[in-house]
Amino acid sequence: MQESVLNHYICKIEGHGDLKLNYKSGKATLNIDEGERLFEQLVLGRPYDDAPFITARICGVCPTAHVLVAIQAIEDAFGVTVNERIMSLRRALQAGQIIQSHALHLFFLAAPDYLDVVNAIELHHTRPELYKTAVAMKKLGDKLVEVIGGRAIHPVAPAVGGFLSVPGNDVLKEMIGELRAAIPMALATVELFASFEYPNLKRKTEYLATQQDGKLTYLDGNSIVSNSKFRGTIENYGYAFTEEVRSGSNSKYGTRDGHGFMVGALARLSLDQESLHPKALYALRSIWGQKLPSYNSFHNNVAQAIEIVHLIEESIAQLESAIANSKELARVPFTVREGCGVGAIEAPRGTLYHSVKTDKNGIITDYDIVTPTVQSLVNLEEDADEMMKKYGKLPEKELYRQIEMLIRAYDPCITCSVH
Amino acid sequence: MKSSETKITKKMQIAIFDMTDCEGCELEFINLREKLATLADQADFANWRLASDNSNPGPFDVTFVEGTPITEEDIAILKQARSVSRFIVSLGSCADLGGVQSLVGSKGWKKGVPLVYGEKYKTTSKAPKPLSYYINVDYRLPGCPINGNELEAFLGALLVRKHPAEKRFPVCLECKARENVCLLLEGQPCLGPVTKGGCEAACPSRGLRCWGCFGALRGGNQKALKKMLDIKHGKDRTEQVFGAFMTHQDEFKEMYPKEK
Repeated sequence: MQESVLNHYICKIEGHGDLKLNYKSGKATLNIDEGERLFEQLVLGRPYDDAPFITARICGVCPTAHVLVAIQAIEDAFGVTVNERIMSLRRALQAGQIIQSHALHLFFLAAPDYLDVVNAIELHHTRPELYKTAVAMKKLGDKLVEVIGGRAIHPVAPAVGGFLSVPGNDVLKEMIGELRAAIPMALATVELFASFEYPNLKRKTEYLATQQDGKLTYLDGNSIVSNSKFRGTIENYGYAFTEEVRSGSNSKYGTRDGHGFMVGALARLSLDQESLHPKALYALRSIWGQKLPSYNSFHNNVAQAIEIVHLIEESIAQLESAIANSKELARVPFTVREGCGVGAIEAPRGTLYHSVKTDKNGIITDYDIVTPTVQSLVNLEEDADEMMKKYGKLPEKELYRQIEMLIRAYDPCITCSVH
Repeated sequence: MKSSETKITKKMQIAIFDMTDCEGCELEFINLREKLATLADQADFANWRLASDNSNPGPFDVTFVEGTPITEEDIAILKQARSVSRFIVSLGSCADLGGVQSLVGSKGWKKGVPLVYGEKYKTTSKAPKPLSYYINVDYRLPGCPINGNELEAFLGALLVRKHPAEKRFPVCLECKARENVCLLLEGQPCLGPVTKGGCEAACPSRGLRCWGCFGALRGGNQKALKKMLDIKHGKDRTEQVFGAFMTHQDEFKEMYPKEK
């Protein structure tokens, strides 16, 4: 097809990137082409409770993650401790966020490559049952976020101290029923993505995730861990990696000791499988049967599908706990004070950090955001170089296609990476 | 009019482009779910980078443009899209109003770039502006994000070749219909009375004040609300509240004539 400004970018990824392969140097470069929105500047001079609303707009795929982590950072600054009911609702909300994002990525962005269709909508004709599953999985995550957060994209109810409003127990019970009913479909999703043939890319790398006392967690991490024995505290996340600005690109690039590292579903599961809920563990061990770490980044697709199963089970448990604790306050009182705080959560694509400084009136004086995609970008390029080495003999078009599939397996969020 | 003139002979060619933004509004297309497949039976997604490998160069009947033109490429795509499209629809507040990234103003944005990226960093980007700064826009679908039901009604109108109508009532109308407690009366700087409706009062229904993401209601009494908020929340805070989404609108410029 003739080159036009209207078909310049890689399709089916979040945001604008284009891929350049340099055969001479054997280097692949993912150029990031997203305008500077300057979110860290937008919130300055505004009251603390503007931060969750504004930073949500960084990303339409994972806005809930930004809302929750902004709240976490501010609560850390003010010294707020919330009750179990609020925590349970937040964990379920975050689970819904990851389910909706993974379902979007798996079915609408990644799957068309493997099912030989130009877009997922075509599945409606070629594989109607599969289109039904795709739509139902996405809807499940959307609904969970909508029930707790008030809206599927850019939630409105979460606030510093808890929630501005919460759904009644009858609504939560109905949601639990829908989550239970979706488990067979989620297992079928694992089966589908485990059945795809992925290129045999193997390259040892470092996986990073936050954990709670050495265990898989999404909202309660208290340390940063890696498979290279790195242990760091969340407050000192700035020491865990280096963020570099590259000329010609408006994203930053994260490295550790000069090399890339990976965050996200595959990283989380590579660091801990034992804490998976039973059905998710069954999906990993019996349906997929892959030993982790596999050091094949294409496996991020299957890892996301397994996380969907795990997070359905997790959100059922959390909603049950929210119902059991429904006598507790939906929002706890707190005092605004001068302080600084850090929040870290496992967003769909990996660890997301926000940190904030406030003055005594709660006005934001400093803000920092580190997104998952910034952390994984260098690793992605290193993987692409490896693909060039291994599959360099393939026709150019096919090599581009395969490396684009690799990029999609990472599920990069370029919108997030430039914020 | 002869009946043959109104007969639909060819599938409508739809394109969706995204400039710099969060891509949340486009997701409302995917959230049409089963109806998305129905739409695809009646119209072709001729170019939709986020969800499809199709990337036809045009011409298009209806082109949805999401996001704020910031990079040189954004602006080039926008102008090219205009030249090959019959109708351009601004999709969401970034396209329609310049988005939250406009809240620091052009000068604030220029000052902010080196603060985020360092002094050495060079950019060819422009300060965020709504689409209408660069091209003519035929229809507007505002919101941060857009409302899914409004999108559905809009697409329905297009498919039967009707002109989609713009909303002429404030958020308060839908908010009252949902029997919500008034957040303005509770002392919050809610922009519901002067903001265009269509969102089904999504935020106030769950306890969050209206931020004005659908844009200023034409004919709304913004000045009266400003007076009231100035007293209760102070002039600086009131300007921040109005400035979240409305900095490029005439209503805002009239209240705050000096460019930041």
